[in-house]
Amino acid sequence: MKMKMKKKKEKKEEKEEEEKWKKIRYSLFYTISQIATSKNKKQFIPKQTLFDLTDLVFDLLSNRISNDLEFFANHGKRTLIKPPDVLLYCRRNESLKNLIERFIQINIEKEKQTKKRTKSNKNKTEKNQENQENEKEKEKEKEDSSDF
Amino acid sequence: MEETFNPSTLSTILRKNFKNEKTKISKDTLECVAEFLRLFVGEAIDRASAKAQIENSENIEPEHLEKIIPQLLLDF
Repeated sequence: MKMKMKKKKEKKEEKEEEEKWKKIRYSLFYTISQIATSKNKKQFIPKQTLFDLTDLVFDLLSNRISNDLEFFANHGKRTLIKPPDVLLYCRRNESLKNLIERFIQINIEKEKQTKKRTKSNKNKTEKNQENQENEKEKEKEKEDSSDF
Repeated sequence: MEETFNPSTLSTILRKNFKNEKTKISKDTLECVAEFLRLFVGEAIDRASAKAQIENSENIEPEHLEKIIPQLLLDF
């Protein structure tokens, strides 16, 4: 009886694993179809093409990217994979490297801005609360005007 | 906002294939990989649509994708 129970449990776990991977594939498929439809509005893209593209991306991620990134991090004597490892991955394609480099820089600048904001907010708490509220309102107005 | 891949999805796929269990991946890196894949998919669609136009086809069929895959994988 116990053996049967164990087998049942294993089967359940297998089913859950399968469902999890189906969900992951579907998530990839969803993003790919979004990107494809926003890129290409003239031609119709059948679902089969998108499924094939999903398989391609999944294979690329699980065979090439994961292995390479792990090796690059190991070579740098790290266990944490950092953005420069991605740059190293696309070293053969100059323009792609430039695009990713720019993306990393924009990300760093964004982080700096958010950090500055939180720091300035902390300083303000030391000041009077009224001042803080006034300044916040002013900042909001500035942000609103800069958006347009 | 432009559509990009979900970082948690990417991390589950990557983590399953790491050989060393101690290997970790930072959040910025996941965003970089997402951007890389976004560019990859965009390029694949562009090249396949160019191929479909040459062959006077209104749809981008899997055959068109098949034809551009070898060069695409060499470039990425």
